[in-house]
This record gives sequence, C-alpha cells and structure tokens, in this order.
Amino acid sequence: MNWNRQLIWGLIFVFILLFITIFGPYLPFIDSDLTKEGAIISKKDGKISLPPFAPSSEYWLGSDRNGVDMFSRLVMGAKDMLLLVCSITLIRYVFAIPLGFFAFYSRVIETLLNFLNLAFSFVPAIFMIILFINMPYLIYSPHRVIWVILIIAFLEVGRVAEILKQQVTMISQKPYIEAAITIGTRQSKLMKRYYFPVLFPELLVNIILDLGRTMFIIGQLGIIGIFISHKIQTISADTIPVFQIQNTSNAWPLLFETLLKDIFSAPWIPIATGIAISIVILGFFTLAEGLRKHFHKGIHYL
Amino acid sequence: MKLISQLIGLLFMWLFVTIVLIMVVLLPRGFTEIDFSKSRVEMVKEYESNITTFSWDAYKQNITNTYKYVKEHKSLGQTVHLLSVEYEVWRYWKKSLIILIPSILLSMILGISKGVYDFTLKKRKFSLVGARTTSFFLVVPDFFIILSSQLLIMIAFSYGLPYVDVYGSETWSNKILAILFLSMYPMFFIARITSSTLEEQSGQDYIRTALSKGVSFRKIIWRHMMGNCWLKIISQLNTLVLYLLSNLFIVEFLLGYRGGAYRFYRAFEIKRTFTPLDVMNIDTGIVIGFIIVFTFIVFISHIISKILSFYFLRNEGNNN
Repeated sequence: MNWNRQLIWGLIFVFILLFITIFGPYLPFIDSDLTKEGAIISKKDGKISLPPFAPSSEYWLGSDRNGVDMFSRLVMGAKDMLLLVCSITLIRYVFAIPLGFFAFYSRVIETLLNFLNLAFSFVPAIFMIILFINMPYLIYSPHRVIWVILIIAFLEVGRVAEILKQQVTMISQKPYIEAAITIGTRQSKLMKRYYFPVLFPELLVNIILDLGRTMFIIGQLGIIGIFISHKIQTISADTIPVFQIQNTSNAWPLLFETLLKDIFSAPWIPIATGIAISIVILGFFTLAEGLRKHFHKGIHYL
Repeated sequence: MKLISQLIGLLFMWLFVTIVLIMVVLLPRGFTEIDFSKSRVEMVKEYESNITTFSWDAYKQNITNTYKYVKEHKSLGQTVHLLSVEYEVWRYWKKSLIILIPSILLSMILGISKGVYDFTLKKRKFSLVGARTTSFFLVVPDFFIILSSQLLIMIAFSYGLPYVDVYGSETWSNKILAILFLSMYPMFFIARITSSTLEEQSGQDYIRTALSKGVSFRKIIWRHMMGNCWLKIISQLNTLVLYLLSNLFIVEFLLGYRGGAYRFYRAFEIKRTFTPLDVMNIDTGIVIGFIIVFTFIVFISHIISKILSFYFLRNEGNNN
C-alpha cells in the first residue's frame, strides 16, 4: 500500500488547527482572558521585570508588549484569523465560479474578464488594497470589516475566474464531451456528469491553496501596519477631541504592529507570529498537494 | 502589424488604468471646517460627517484644480518638504531602481538555472536542494524569511562575525541584502515555471530522436528543450515585475530602505491619531507621481514581454 503521506499530514494539520480554534480557549494552559501583566517580581532574587517578557517556563513563547502570553494570544487569535481568511476566499470563489463559467459561454463576458485581468496586471495588489482601505469612508464605516473583506476578495476574482475558464475550455475539448453532445445529452446532465467530476477536485485544491495565499496577503498587510478591523476611539485630551484608531480583533498580523521596534528588543513577538503564519500556510499547501495527488490517482492508469 | 496593434492596445490600457487610479486618488477626503462653538460631542459628530460624506462638487473641484495646476505649472505640485513632486519622486525612485533592475535580472537568470537544475535533479530520490527547496521558498512567506535572516545576521554579529549593516539604504550591504530579499520569491516562481514547462516537453518525440543521435544531455536541454520553453517563460515577465513591485513595499519597509515604495506608502498613509483639525488628506501629488511611475514600469515589462514573445513565436514558425 502506497500511502499518500502529504494528504495524511495535511489532514492532521487541519484537524489540529480546527481543534485549537474550537477547543483552544478551554485548554488548561491557555489564558483565555488574555490578562495583561504589568510587571513580575522574580521569586528567586526579587528582581522586577517589565513586559515584554522573554520566553520562559511560564511564558512559553514570551509575552507581547502588554504582558499578554504570546501562546495564548496566538491560540485565541486563530479563530479571527481563520474566519477572515475563509470568508475572503469563499466570497472570491462565489463570484469567480459563475464569472469563469459565463466567460466560457459568452463572448462579451470573456472580453470583460480579459480586460479586467489585463487592467489588474498593471497595479500591484497590495497598493490597491492600501489605497481603498485608507479611504476616510472606510475608516469611519461601521461595516469596515465587510468592506475590507470584499475588497481583498474582489481583487483576485479575475485571476481565479480565468483559471476556471481555462479548465472548462480544456475539458470541453475532450472527446468524451463531443461524444456526449452527439448522443444528445442535455446541458444540465453534461454539467453534472462530465464537467463537475473533473472540475471539482481542481476547484477544491485551488480553494485550499488560495486560503494560504490570502493568509500571506493579510500577513503582508499587517507588516506595513494595515489592519482589518478597528474602532475610532476618542482619547482624553484637554483641548479639542483627539481620536485614535484602535485595533479590535485578535488576528495574528496585529502582532506585527510594533515590528520595527520588536525586532531589536523583543524578537520573539514577530518571530512567533511569523512561525504561526508560516505553519498554517505550509499546512494548507501540504493538504492541497496531498489532495491533488489523491485525485490524480484515478486518472493515471499506469 | 499585429504586434503594433497589440502594443497600441497596451498603451491605451496603461493610460486607462493610470487615469482610473488617479481618479480614485482624487476622491474628496472631506473638509475640516467645524464650528468650534459647539460642544465636544457635536464637534466629533460634525467632523465625522464632514469626512465621510461624498459630494460630487468637491470631487469635480478636486479634478479641475489638479488639472489646472498641472497645466499652468507643468508640475504635479509641491510636497510637504517644499520640493517639487517630480524631484522628490525621482530622488526616491532612483534608490528603488538600483535594487529593482538587478533583482529582475537576478531572478530571471537564477530562476531559469534553478528550474533547469530542478528538472535534471528530479530523477534522484533524495534531492534536498532540488524541487523541494523551490516549493519551500514559494510557500513560506518571504517576510518571515527576511525577518529571521535579519535577526540571524544580528545574532551572528554578537558572536563575533563581521558587522553587516541590515537597516538603511546607504551602504553596499543594504543594497545587496535588499536585492537578495527582493528577488527571492520571484526567482523561485520563475524556477517553478521553467521546470514545469521542461516537464511538459520531456515526453516529446524530438528528444528521443536527439538522444538516439547521441546529442549530449546538456545540449538537449539548453538548445532543444529551452528553445521551446522561452516563449512561456518570457510571457511571465510582467507577472514577475508585478510581484517585484508588490514585494518592494514589504522589503523596503522591513529593511528601512528609503526608496520609492517607502515614500509612496508614506504618501498615502493615514495617521493613527488625529484631531478634528486634521485633514484626512494624502500627499496627492506624490501619489499620482508614483502611480505613473509604477504602472509605467509594468507597462514597459508588458511591452518587452510582448516583443520578445513575438520574436520567439516567429522563430518557431520559421523552424517548422
């Protein structure tokens, strides 16, 4: 028996990730309240140390600048992170799948899709995201999260639809489709019996790979200091009101906020976050590769 | 003729994209005139509504003002540093070009060699430096690799290794590090494409013929197989440049490299703390300048890629 090792590792990863997201907050060594520790006095020599605390037996991955345990912070943030990544990817595919199909059937939509892709190929994606997210309308909008998710999702709809269109075109040229059309198979049956079984595995693999990609983009945004959800808080001042943009989510990229300072004084904060993001991306990639191998098994006869 | 019409199409596309982006940048960002006799709560409310209500008049005024200024002064305006926008854009963009152009060449050359290497190594079972490293570098986010290498360099210094300047844009080590980090992901991207196109070719009959005639392995790959692959690799040139420009934001930010992308980002960044007197304005002139520069680079890469593909396509036709 030839085991598909990548698939097994990928499934184990997803299982662990889901376990941590759902049951993580109830684990005994997780501080689910994310309590902020001001200072600790060492029991041995009575020295006082201030946050961020270095990794130790009490703080496995150290603590952030507020004295919150990094490990708990990462576990608690997993849910926000996953929700964000999944919603962006799903919305992207909900729009891209019909677009890809219609582009295959209709000339007009195909031209539109090509135009869209060419236009987007002129601008770095990250620049578009920053430009739109920093609009005052979005900064003040109560539905900012939804807008941001939509913007990030829509930026790559064209690319995904194009891939799908190419796959549909490729399948349509296969002899068995011609055969099916000759014997008078109805369009709906053609979809169900001939296109879907070939398309579905590819689609699944692409969706999982896209989860990783989205994670990467959100990480990049975090590095240059752009966060998905925030609130505008009026802070105390004697003169006119002063507003401050405060982050409200627990998502991982928020830990990159003080990155340029942390790398000198508390390198465990960005490094632990980076490792967490990398592990998740690697996990999605392994799962996608494993699935691809699994689905291709039936196609090769030798 | 076909090539020329394609190039003209690209030119129009570039103009279209640039104009649309400039229109987005010119969207009104509110005004800050508020009534100071009101209470604080009312002031906050008024400020918020001033900032977030969209008015067509303000938008129209923005556009006409910018257009008039450009027409009259032949310049995009003045920056916060009281320099002309053109001067400042060029001053920063120069620094980015120093790392961008070597990165394009480096990722192309090293990427293709790595792709060929991956393809030839594929036959062996345990190839640590082969395709596995390529996919590793494609999967692991490059910002994490950059962060950890910076940290490693700094730790190495504390253990007595020579001092390497990691942050900044002045010394040679800054530039070399920036080039390396910038071209890392695109290089493996090209490697992946090269090895997969070679893979597609590997089953063709002409290879069997060449092998039976005793052509050396190296010659088969570089002369015969790559001859068919150039087209596909060259057509990815604009994607490569796009990745590099996207990455430029991250690399310049992480390395403290004060180049074009950094200045660009600073120009349309908004403050984290502000008062009702603050305009949510961005440095419109600088942003427009950089939009033109950035899209122009992609435009050039599109043109080069189109011309080269045309050339390779014609070559292929003649050989047949």
